[in-house]
This record gives sequence, structure tokens and C-alpha cells, in this order.
Amino acid sequence: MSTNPVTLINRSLRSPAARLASLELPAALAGQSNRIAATHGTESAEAYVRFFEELLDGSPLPTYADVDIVALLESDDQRDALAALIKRSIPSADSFDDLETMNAMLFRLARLDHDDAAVTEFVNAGMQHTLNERTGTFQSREKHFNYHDARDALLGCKRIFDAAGKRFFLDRGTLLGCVREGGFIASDYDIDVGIFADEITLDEVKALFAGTEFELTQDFEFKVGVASPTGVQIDFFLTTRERGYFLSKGFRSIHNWYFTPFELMEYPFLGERFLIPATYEKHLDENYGNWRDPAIFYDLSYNEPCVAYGRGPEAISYLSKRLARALRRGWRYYSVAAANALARSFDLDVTDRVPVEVAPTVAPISEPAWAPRPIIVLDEFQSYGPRHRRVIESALSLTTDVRLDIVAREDHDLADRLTVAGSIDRVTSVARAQLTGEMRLDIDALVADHPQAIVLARHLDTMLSSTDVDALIAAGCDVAFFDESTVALNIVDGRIVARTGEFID
Amino acid sequence: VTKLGAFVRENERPGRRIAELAFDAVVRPRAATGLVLPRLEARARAAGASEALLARAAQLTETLGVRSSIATYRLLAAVASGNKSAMTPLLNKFKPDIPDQLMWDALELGGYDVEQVRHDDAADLVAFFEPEIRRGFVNDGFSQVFEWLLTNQRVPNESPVLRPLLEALVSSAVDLRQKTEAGDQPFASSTLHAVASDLIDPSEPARFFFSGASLLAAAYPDVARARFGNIEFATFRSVDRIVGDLPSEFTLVSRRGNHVVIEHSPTSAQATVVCFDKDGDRTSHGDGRYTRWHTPFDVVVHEFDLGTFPGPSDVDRYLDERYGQWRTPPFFYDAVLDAPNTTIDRSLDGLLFVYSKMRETFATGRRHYADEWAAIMRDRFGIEYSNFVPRSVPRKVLATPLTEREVDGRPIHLVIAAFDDVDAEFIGWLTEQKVDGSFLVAGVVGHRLDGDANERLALANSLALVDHATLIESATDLDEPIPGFVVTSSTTHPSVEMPATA
Repeated sequence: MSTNPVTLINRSLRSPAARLASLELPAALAGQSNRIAATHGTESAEAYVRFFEELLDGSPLPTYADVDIVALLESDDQRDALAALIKRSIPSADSFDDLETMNAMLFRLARLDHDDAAVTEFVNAGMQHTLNERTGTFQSREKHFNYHDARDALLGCKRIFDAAGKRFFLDRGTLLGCVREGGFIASDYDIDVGIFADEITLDEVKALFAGTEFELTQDFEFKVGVASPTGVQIDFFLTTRERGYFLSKGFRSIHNWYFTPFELMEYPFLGERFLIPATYEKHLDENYGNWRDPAIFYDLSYNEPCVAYGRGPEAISYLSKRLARALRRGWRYYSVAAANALARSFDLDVTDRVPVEVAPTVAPISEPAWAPRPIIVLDEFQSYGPRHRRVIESALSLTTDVRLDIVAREDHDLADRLTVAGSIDRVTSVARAQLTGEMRLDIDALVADHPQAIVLARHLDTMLSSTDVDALIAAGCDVAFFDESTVALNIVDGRIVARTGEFID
Repeated sequence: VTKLGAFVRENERPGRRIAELAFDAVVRPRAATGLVLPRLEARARAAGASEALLARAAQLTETLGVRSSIATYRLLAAVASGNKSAMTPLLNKFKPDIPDQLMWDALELGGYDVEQVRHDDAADLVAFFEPEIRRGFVNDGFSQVFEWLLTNQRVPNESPVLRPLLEALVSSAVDLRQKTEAGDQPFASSTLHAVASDLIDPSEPARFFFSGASLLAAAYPDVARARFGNIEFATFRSVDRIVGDLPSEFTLVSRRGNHVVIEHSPTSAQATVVCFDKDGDRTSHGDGRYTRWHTPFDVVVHEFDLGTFPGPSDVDRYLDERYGQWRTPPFFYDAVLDAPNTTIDRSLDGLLFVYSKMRETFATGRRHYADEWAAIMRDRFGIEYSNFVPRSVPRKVLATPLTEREVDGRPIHLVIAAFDDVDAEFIGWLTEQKVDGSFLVAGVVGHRLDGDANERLALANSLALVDHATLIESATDLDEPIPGFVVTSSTTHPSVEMPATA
């Protein structure tokens, strides 16, 4: 809407019909305000006039969601005239929102449907625009470090540790940036590394940095922090190897990170080789959930699945304060998240005051327009071992639909194999793989459900010819082979592959 | 101006910042330092502020600016004069870690007999300062005194005074939100009565009848309905008939799909008339972007406290379908997302509606709504952006400690095995161990520094039969296999030889 006060006063003093008459509009669109007021209401007539005033004087347009101008038209002549006017205006539009409004109106004028390719492209372009604007803004920009300062700080830290014969591993956001971005994530503001408590103490870490260009900035019970000369903060999380899990703690033990135990491996980063958890995909699954896409929302307390709250009064007080703050401010997500956390961890339950999902009793349930694409894992499944577990679990972090196909040339122990494969948690289905007369995998049956990948035990690779592999790839299905050395499935250049790795004791 | 505009949009308390900018522009910090600060310091000193408090107030000029020192001196004087509500803002000036001496001095300045309790038990301290703590909870949503007692004085978790206070904190926040939401009642009963009386002809009950928030207000006047919408009536007639046949007291404002907005001239109140379509075993109305579905109903005349007006025959069923948990209105109710009977239309208008909501909520960081709209976009239109919102992973993927909520009172049965050769025979044995209603814990024999043992632990956890897995390093671990939980029974696989006691 125009912000010029003279314009606003002038408009408020004149009737919509008079204002419309003063605009240079095609005949089909002029003189419509009285008709619209009678058939669609006074507010619609006002919106109609205002839309053309703002379109013609270049003011920001009311969004297509607020005003339905197209519905006010009653003839093809009017629709054609509006389409022509909008097409003339698009080149001079300088705001993304105005372009969106005009394009959305063109879709409606052209009577496109929701599944038209142009409409999907419109949505994707708008979301990409939003994501680009949003990525990196969930933390204060003021805290962000730049790549060069962070790299120098981490390399300096590595030199100090290497000289002392000690080791650390990349952890949390730094690990995520290393693996996903090959750098630091846009929204990060410090460097996180882990150290094993049975290899080095926090006092020893402090001693390593004493007399160096780094300055000690945090000295807590379970974590110390140093700052590089350019102010980049490096946090050292003391990681203890407990019975069945690795544990590190934050300030006052309010947040505790529980990880499945892991070995370390070397990984190229910043032109050097750094240690990271060898099962980094699982580690990041536990740390961040769906870490493969850059999330535009993040909250340490609610978005790190492996975090458990400490049992001390500080933790319950922390959550209570967050709930109180969120309720006061009217923040729904944070109210619900804090209420759930208090109920789950401390039996302080006010969840009855936040909306709960009530199952519809009358609305027609239609088939969802979207379903996850499956990953099909194929092996003989005479027994279930670590290689299966690693492959299946990492497949489950890529899709919620993982199917197991049992390769059995004969029937005699099929029931046992079904028992073994059927004992694995969270898989969608277990079935016998369909074979051709030449005892090869039936490609048509495999691609029938449009899988994103088939993952085959390497010792069975003769069951796929190179022609079969080409056919699968042509059908948009990646092909990967796994064996004892497979650590996880991973995505490289947009394709699912089996990753092998070497651990360092 | 641009910077200020951005600040107002991004911040929760822009008014305060505007005041700060005005202060900097007009008063000039240097002038304030020379003229204002000495006078305020003298006043705070005269009021009884200790040297430590005054020194901290002076120090704030260097760290946070002269405005902070001015505010702190004023707060010191206010606390000393008995203004209890000034205590939390004063202590906020000393955050994050308030030294003990500073806290004791501030409390003494506020009139507390600190000598009486200074060396007392931490739990007694909480009890002594309870009024101060509760005041902070109610007025500010937190209490610095409480935080200090927790962290510096180490109030034990099991202290009996702790939990009631935390519950008070939560319930005060709940009460405040309730008041906030109840304060937005969109229409008064008298207005509803006036509008309904001019619109509804008692001799033709099916022509216009009560629906939506109007029906709730008429049938259950005591239920808070702030978030359940504006005045609404329904009809089984078409939109065109409604528009062409409005009573003289009403003017047409706008229409969208089967929804017509009208204005009642005598009261200037707006009302929405929804035009129901009957379709076999269901009936519906919508605005072209979403549709609300109902079980078909007859319209009958009800004797409401408000008056005699028509409405759906089974009012409760109508309200259940439309609002879900309407009897205890939830906070943050959203008219589309939280209405159980509402679906987004698979149409261009439906998609554009969802898209505009999704893009707006992504852009503004309204997390819950971004999540919801992205899920609708995915499920209704097959366009996937929900993966940009953080998602958790199933509990069993994680190594987090077992919770009582997961066990849910079930007897824990421990099975001790190597979990190194999971074949059909082993699965058969494990199945026998899974007694109905029990919580099966896999005790995996091995040592924490042995990578193979950790692999077997993860393997055990990935079995559908296993509810939880833990490592058994030595026989002593069997005394408490899962810290904090009692194991009801246990079985050891025949192939296992338990390691010796460490």
C-alpha cells in the first residue's frame, strides 16, 4: 500500500467508483466498482480499486493471499485485460512479493491447477528464496565468525595438540559443517571439539594453551573454552566413555549429550586430516536428526535428539523458565516443547493446556500426495550381523521406508530367513526377492515402487548384470553394494553409496 | 530510520530501544556521566546501598554503558524504599553470575534480615525467600534470587520447597496466557443477540442458524471462545441467494467460496455466513482454500440463555467436529490447523494458501506453524519442504538413559547374551523371553572400550523384540544393570560365560 500521506488522504476522501474512474485502465476493467460492491461486497470493491491504484503507481501490492481480485471478474474480456496488464507490469516489479502476487494471479487467470509444472516451479522458487534469506539467521549474525578466522583457529589448535601428542575430534556443529559442507556451517559461531576423558583432562587442555596466543574464556566442570587471537571460540567437551554410551555435558549439566559409542577416523578438512567419529552419519543422526538438509530452525534444548536433561534443580528450573517465557510471549512451539520436556523428564505436566491433535471423525481421508521413496536392502539374511545393522540403520536415516528383500534360491530355510529379517526393528516390510529364470534379480519387480536405491550384499553382485544396473539407474534408482567393511550408506553427489572406512584405535 | 524500522520488527521490546536511542541523541552520555551519575549515586548511598553495590553500579558504565549505571542507581534507591517489584530488575543488572556478597547486600537493602538466614540450610533459604521468589515468578516469569539459590547455594533436588515453587512458576505463566487469550473475546453476547435477532426469522429456522463460535457462545456461554472465531451463522441456501436477499440491516462486505461476510449496520459488527453443501453422508462448507466437514444434521430451535434460536440438532457433536477439545480451550488454537474437521482443498487456491502460509512462517521463524504448513504442503500437494525443519529420530537409535515413562510400570526382564550371532534359533530363544507385558532389556556382555562390544550393543538395540540394551562388563554390573531401575527377572543365554567380578 502507498505510504504517501497525501495519497492516502486523497483516496480516503473519494469513492471507489471515482478513484477507479481516474485510473487509466482498459475498458473491460474500468467502471466495475459498483457492480463488485453489489455482488461481492464493499470491501471487495475497495480491494479491487486499491489493487489497480497500487499496480499502476508501483506501490507494493496486497498479496494474492489477502485479496482475490480474479474472483471479482466475470468475463473473459476482463480476465484477458487483467492478464495483459499484469504481464506489462511484471518487468518493472522490483519486489519478490509483488512478482509472486502477479504470477499467482496469472496462474488463476490461466486456470492452471495445483499440479501444473509452472505452479510447482513457482512454489520451489519462492521457497528457495525464503530458505536463502533464512539460512543462517536463527543465530545472531553478530556472533558469526568468518571462514578464515575459524580455519586459522582450528589449525592452530591442531598444531598445539599434535605437538603434545594428544588428540581431539570434531564434534557437533563443527562436525556437521565438516561432513555436510566441507567447511563451517553458515549459522555457526564457535568451534566444538571433543576430547576423551581417559586421554586428557580439562586441566591438561588448559595447560596446553597456557602461554600461547589462545586465551582461556570458559572454565567449567565439563567443558573449557579458548578464544583465538581473532576471537574465534573453541569449546572442548570432555567426553567420558561410559558403559554403553559416551557422555559429554554442558554448562551446569543442564544439557547432557549421550552418544552411541564410536571409534575415530581421519577425515580431510581444511587441507589437513582431522579426527571425527568413524560412524559420523549415526553420530549426526543422534545429534541433529535430519542433519542432511540445512535446518532453518534450531534450538539446543529441543532439537538435539541425543540431549537429556540433567537431574539437578538447574535443569528443571531452566525448562520451567523457558515454558514461562514462551507462554508469556505467545510462542507456541517453545511452549509445547518445554511443556513436553517438563512432563517427560520431570513429571511436571501442563500439556493439557496446549492443543492436542484430535482425530477427524467426518473429514474424508484422502490418499496423501506424497510418500517417502523406499530403499530396498537385499541379502540372504541367514543371520543378522553388524554389517546389516549399519546399512539398515543408515538407510532408515535416509528414508522411513526401508524394505528387506531376502535372496533365497531355494525354499528349505526361507522361514528361518524371514524370521531373522523380520526381527529387525523399524523396517517397513520383509519379503522374498523376486528372481528371474536365470536366477537374477527381477528388475521390473524392484523398480515397481520407485525406490531411491537398492542396496545389495556384495557377494550377491552376480545377480545383477551391468545392463540391470544401467536399467536401475535409468529408472532413477541408485545401486550400492555392501560388505563387512561398510560403515554406512551415504549420499555423495546426490547418489546413495555404501561408505567404507578405517577406524583408529 | 531504516535501522530503527528493522529493529522494531525484529525485537520484542522496541519501545525501550527507541527510548535508548533518544537518550543517546539528546542527553549525551558524557553529560550524564558528569552531572546525573554523581547525584544518583549519592541518593543510592543515602538510601543504604553498600559499597559493593555502588561499585558494581559504577562499573556498569564501562561494560554496558551509562544508561545501565543510571538505571541501577535508581533501582537501588527503589529497592531501599521498599519497592519490592524493583528487586528483580536490580538483580538482572548483576547477571549472569551474581556474587554472593552482592546478592546478600541487595537482599539486605530490600529489607530482608539476611543475618537471620545467612548460614542456614539451603532449603531453609528457599523457604525464607519464598515471597520474593514468587513475586519474581508472577511479575517477571523468573526469579534471580531463586536462580542464585539453586546455583550458588546448591539447593538439593529433593528439597521439599523446590517443586511447589516451580509449579507456581509454571502455573503463573499458564494463568497469564489464559488472561491474555481470554482478553481477546471477539464479540459480546449482546452483540450476537442483536445481530441474530435481525438476521434470523424464527418462522424459518433453516434459513439462517447458529454455527461456529456463535453456537458455542450461545450454548456454552461460560466457555472461553477467544480463539474460536467471530460471529458466524450458517445456511443451506446458496451464496447467490444470500447475497441477493440480505435483510435491510445488513450490507455485503465480501465473499469467498461458500463464505459470505456481512456487516450489521446497527452494531457495525461483522458476521460470516457459511453456506453448507449437502453431499450424501457428509455436509461441508469452505472458502475455496479449505473445507470444513460435518456429519449431516437437522436444524432445530434451541432455548439458549441468549434467546430462542436455531442451530444444529446435536450441538455437542457439531462442536466436537469443528473444534476438537473445545470444552477446555487450548492455548494457541489455530482455526485451520487445529480444527479436526478441516482439510485443505487440492486446488490452485488451496496450494497458494498453503504456500503463502508456509513461506511466511519460514521467513518469520514461526516454528510450529512452519512445521505444520510444510507437512500439509507435502501431504496434500507432494511438495517437500518439511525436511528443513529439525526432526528427531526414534528413541531406540539413541543412547540416552532409560526413563520411567518408557518403562511405563512394566516388569523389566533382563536377557544376558553376546548378541554376536543373531540367527533364527537365537531369535526363537529371544522370543521365548519376551513375556507379555514385560520390558525386555538386552544385557550385552562386553567391555566399553571394545569396539566389537559396542557394535553388538547397537545390534541388540536394533532388534524389534528388545526394548532397551545395556552393556554388562562384569558380574558386579548385574547388581544394577540399569541405573535407577529394578530388574524383575533375568535369563542368561546358555552360550554366555559371565565375566568375573571386576
